[in-house]
Formats: sequence, structure tokens, C-alpha cells
Amino acid sequence: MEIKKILLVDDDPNIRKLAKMSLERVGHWQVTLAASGVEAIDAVVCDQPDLVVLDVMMPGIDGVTTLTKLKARNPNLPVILMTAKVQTEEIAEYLNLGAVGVIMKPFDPMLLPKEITELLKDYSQN
Amino acid sequence: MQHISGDVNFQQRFLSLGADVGTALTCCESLEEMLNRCARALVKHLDLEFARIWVFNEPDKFLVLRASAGLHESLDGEHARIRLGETIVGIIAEKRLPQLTNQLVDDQVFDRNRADEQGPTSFIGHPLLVQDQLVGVIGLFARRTLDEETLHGLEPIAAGIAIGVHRNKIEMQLRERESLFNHFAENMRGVMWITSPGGLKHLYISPAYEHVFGRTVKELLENPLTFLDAVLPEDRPILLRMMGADDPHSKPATDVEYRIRRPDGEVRWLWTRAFPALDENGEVYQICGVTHDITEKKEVEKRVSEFYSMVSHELRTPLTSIRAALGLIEGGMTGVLSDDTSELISIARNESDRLIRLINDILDMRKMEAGKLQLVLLPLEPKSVIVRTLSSLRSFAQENGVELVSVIDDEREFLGDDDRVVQVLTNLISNAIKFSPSGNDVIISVEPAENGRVRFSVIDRGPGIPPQQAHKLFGLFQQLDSSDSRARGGTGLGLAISKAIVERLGGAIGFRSEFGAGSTFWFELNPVAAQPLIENQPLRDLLSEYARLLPLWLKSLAFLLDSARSTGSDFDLNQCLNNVRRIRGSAEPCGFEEVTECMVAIEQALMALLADEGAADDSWRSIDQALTQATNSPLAGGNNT
Repeated sequence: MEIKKILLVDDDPNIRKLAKMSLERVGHWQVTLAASGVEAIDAVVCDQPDLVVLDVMMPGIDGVTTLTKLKARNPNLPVILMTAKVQTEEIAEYLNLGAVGVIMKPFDPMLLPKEITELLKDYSQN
Repeated sequence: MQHISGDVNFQQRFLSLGADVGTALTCCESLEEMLNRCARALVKHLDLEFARIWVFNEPDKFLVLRASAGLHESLDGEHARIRLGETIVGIIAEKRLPQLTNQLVDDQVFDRNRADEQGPTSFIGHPLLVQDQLVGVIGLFARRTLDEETLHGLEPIAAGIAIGVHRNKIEMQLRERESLFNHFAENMRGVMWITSPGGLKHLYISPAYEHVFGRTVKELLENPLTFLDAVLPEDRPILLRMMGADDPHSKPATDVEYRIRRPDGEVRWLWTRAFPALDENGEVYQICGVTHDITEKKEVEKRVSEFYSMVSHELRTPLTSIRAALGLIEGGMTGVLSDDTSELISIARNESDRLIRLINDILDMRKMEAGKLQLVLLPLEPKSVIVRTLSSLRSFAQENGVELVSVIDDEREFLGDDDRVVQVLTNLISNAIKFSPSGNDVIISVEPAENGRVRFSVIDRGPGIPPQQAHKLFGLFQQLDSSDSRARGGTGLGLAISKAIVERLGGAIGFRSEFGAGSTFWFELNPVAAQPLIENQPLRDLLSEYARLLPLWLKSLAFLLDSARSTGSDFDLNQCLNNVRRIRGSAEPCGFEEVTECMVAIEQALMALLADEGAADDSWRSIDQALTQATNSPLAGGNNT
């Protein structure tokens, strides 16, 4: 699957900056940003990204709700979740709701693009 | 002086005396009253000046005057307490032999306090014995001659009084115990209870029940179902299982947590510990136990859990930014760095990595302590686990000038969680790398252990473990040489976590070390039945292999079944099925019928569960029974006969 543009959603401005830098400079993708679930839903319409990378813990509407809403309107849009917490049953839940995969925080910015590529590869194979 | 001789009169007196003493022994409430009546009877029928009864106090070896009838009735005075061996009474007690004297001069056994009185001249003392145990002494004081016949006639009387005193002592002890028990039962917050086997009929329940359950004891004793009614429906099965309700002769498991709903609607968490009472045949005839309300404790646990969850998030968030920023700089994404800058950034990035590992370790440790560590149990191949581990460690080894060598001598599948076993191996190997001098090898081997398990070993030629540090090694935050290994990036929790993981998987972990010559860290896990044992092996060898492996296979199977029971997933059930079939595959051709039958039963129950046929409870019950039977079979080292 060809990814050109990624929408990055995180309420933490530092993460937005850093992840954007990683995805642009290491991953060589185009990156647009959103700071909340609500913004994300609008941004998908405006920016037409090929992939959404979405933080799970956000104030307002959280990552999971955002995921559900996004998938409802855009069933074919791949969404990857980012989280600091992980429980095996939570991962299963995210996958059931349609997420492509989960990336753990803290991430290695030099390896983040590779992780994303791997997840997308697994996803399109299955 | 009168002289009473062995005539009809004599016999009559002793008959009457016997009758009076008998009455006194059987119908008196208190020891005092009983002994006084005996003493009075003695005085009356034997024409005595006075009679006394001392009771022996075992702990301090004193005879205590408890009854005095006749001319002297006071219990005070110097003769109120006589030490064993002192005065004629003490000597009688010590030697356990009766004495008769008609020349009484000993002042210490009566008050010669009236100047014009002559006092008694004759004395008989008789020990009170119950089966060789000294219980007291009776003393008869007369102003007439006492003869041998009287002394002999006294024997049965003394025996009777001795039994009376002894019985009274035992009754007092019983009453004390009962009152102590009641004191506990009534004041403990926990409910103490006794039920029939199976746990459905309460034989005793302490008053705390009313406080904990909000219902009356009377109601429970009248209607045993009020107990189970209060328990939340989803918690009833495990409770019943623990109580052995489906098999009253099973020795119940030890404890269980469950919820009840009180009449006011409030839901409380309870913890019950049950222990069976066995009769002389080893059969359960009663179940005793204690139940505590642990609602507060559960709430605290929940708050602690939530706290850790929050802390983990709060700590990880800034660390994510720090790590990412440093990573980008180090990776050259912001431009070329001078050597100095590069070095400093590297240090910072390394340390933030270490912080991240530390947080992960702390949370792992926390999950283990809270019993929340989730393991995905699978049969694993030693080779693939080692390959996976080594692939991620090669660069670290290279950096330290250490070569990793693997030796695979056991290819049997073992029970484990892929990620977690890799975590343990990684921990041991990275420790070995850190402590190995450059240019050395670290050997990772897997081989069958003598006890039949699959043993992984990590061998290094590092400095070894100083003997005095050995016992602390698997403790928390233990690092041998803090200056050294902190610089090498350790968190101090690795071994503790590895130990917890290995033990959760039913295995064992340890080390051997020679200070100055290196160390071997090992851990063993249980094999899973893989393929049938080789048919060509002589039967004798086969049996001894079997004896070693079958218990471990059954243990692994039990773990898999527990996992399948809690997840209910088809994947887990299928795993169990495969395993069961393999065990059967080994047992059947060898003619091990009992084990084969058990496996067939488990297989059928698992298939029923997979097909959703019949009641799941029934299927699990048959599985439990069959597994227990297999585990107890002689082949598995149990003692079914």
C-alpha cells in the first residue's frame, strides 16, 4: 500500500513535533497534524491522508472513540494507534475495532517509520 | 480412746462413707463443694477430729488446701500451701505412698494454736492418684488410734476422690477452651464456620456472620440456601467448586474470593479459606473455615492499580518526547554534530533508554505482584526461542567484544509465553555480556535436565558472584557492583522479574558461580508432550522416562487447561486438545491404560466445549476429574492404588 501523506493525531505538542520530524525526515512522508479527536475527523476530510497515526490517551474524545468514528466514515483508511499503556486484551480490542496495529510509546524516532511500514505490510497481507 | 476394729460396724461405716463420697462426686457443681462434702463425710463416718483435702498444682509443685472439715474448717494458715516433699503431707505426695501414724507431732499440718488443746494424735495421709498422676492428698486427723484396716479401707475412697478432682480439672480446662474459642469467635471480624462435606449445611457459624452478611445466623441454620443465595451468580461456581460441592470427598482447595449481595443491596467482596477435617481413614467429615470481608482491601488494590496505571502514563509521556528528541539529534536528523555534542547526546539517549526500561520493569514487577501478569501459554521450541533472542542481542554483544555461542541439545517443546521466555533469556544473556571481559564467549545452551525438564543455561567467564551476595541475587533492585553495572545499563529488576516469570510458568531458576571464574545462570521449564516416546526403547527405559516426563507433561497440560478455562478461546482449547492427544499418543501404545482413559475423557470434554455442546460446567468437571486421576496414577508418581 502506497503511503504519501500521514495524518498525525496527538494532544501533546512535543510528540506532534517529534513524530512529524521522524516521519518526514526518516520516513520521507508528508505529514499533517491534528491535536484532538474532533480535529482529526475534520482533518481527514480536508487533508485526505493515506494513513492516520492516532494517540490513544487524549482528553475530549479519546483515541478509541475517534478510531470508531473514523472507520465508520472511512472504512478503507488505515489507522495505527499509539499508546503508552498496553494490555494484550486492549490490543485485541483495537484490532477488532479496525486498527491496523499498535505502536508503543516511547518510540525510537529513527525506527518509527520502519515500524509503521511493517505494520502496514502485515495488514495488507491479511 | 476408742478403737474401731474390723467388725460389722467398720464395714458399715465404710459403706456409708463410700455412699456419701459417691454422692458428693457426682452431684456437686464446684470443686469446693464436692471436696467439702467428702471431707465432712470422712469426719462423720470415721470419727475424726478433722479431715483435709489438698489438691496438687502441677506447674509450681505445691499442694493447695482446698477442703477442711471438722474441728478446723479454715483454709488459711501455713499448711494451706505445702511444697512437694516437705512435711508429712508433702512426703506422701512425693512418694505416692499412704502413711499412718499414731504419734503425730508434726506441727505443720494443723494449727496447734489453742494452748489447752492437745490436738490430734493420729494421722492418715493418702495420696490421690489417677493412673500414676498425682492429683492431691487427703489427710485424716484423729484423737483416737487409727489402724491399718482403716488405711486400706481408704484406698477405694481415695481413688474415687482422685477421679473426681481430675475430672473437675479437665472440665475446667474444657470450659476455659470453650470460652476462649467463644471469645475469638465473637470478637473476630471474620466469620468462623463449620460445615458438612460439600459445604452446604452449616454446623456452626460465628456471630460475625450477621455483621458480614447482614442476615441472621438463625435464618442460615434454618435455611442453608440463604448463604448461596447471597453470593453473586457468576461467583457461585468457583465457590462451590472450592467447597467440593460436586464431590464431597474431594479435599477442597484452600481459598477463594467472591462477591455477595447484602439485603440492603450492597455488594461486598469476601475471602474464604477452607480446610477439611479428616477422620482416621483420611476422609473428609467436616469442613472448617474462615470468611473475611475484603471489600476495603479490594478497593485499595484497585486504587493502587489505577495509580500505577496513571503513573506509568505520566512517566512515559515526557520520556517519549525526551527519547524521541535525542534520537532524532543522534540520528543526524537535525544536522551534523561535533564529536563532543555527539558523545553527550549519546549519553543522554542511553540514559533515557535506561529510564524507559526501568519503568517497564517496575510495571512488570507490579503486574506480577498483583497477579495480573498475563501469559499466553504455548508449546515453544527451544531453538526458535534462542534464535529470536540472539538476533536482537548480537549487536550489543559485538559492542562489548563478546561472542554468543548457542548449543542446542534438547529439541523438545516446552510450555511458555514466547515474549516472556525471550525476556528471561535476554535478561540473562545481557547480564552475561555486561560482565564478560572482552574477547570471551557467552554460551547459551539448552539440554534435558535430570528431572526431565528443559534446561536453559547461560554461561559466562566473567568475575562470578561473590558468595556473600548470592542470596540477594534474585531480589529487587539488587545489583552486585553498583558503580559498574549501572553504567552498563541494568535496572536491578531483571533477575527478580525473570524469577517471577519462570515460576509463573511452573519452572525453576538458579545459578552456579565460582567467584573469579564465571557463572552459569539457568532456568528450567516443563516439557509439553511432543511426540510419542521412541517405540524401540526397551520397556524398562521407557517406563523410567515416562515416570519422569509424565508428571511434567500433566503439569503443562494443567497450565494450558487453566488458561483455556479463563479465556474460553477456541485457540486455547485446541492447544489443550493437541496436547492431550500427544500424551495419549505416548500412553496408548505402551499400554498405560489408566492414563489413556483419562486423556480420552479430557479429549471428549474438550471437543464438547469446542462444539458448544452440553453444559460447560459438566465438561470442565470431567476434565478436572480426569486430570486429577491421571496425576494421581502410579505411573505419574501418584498413589492411586
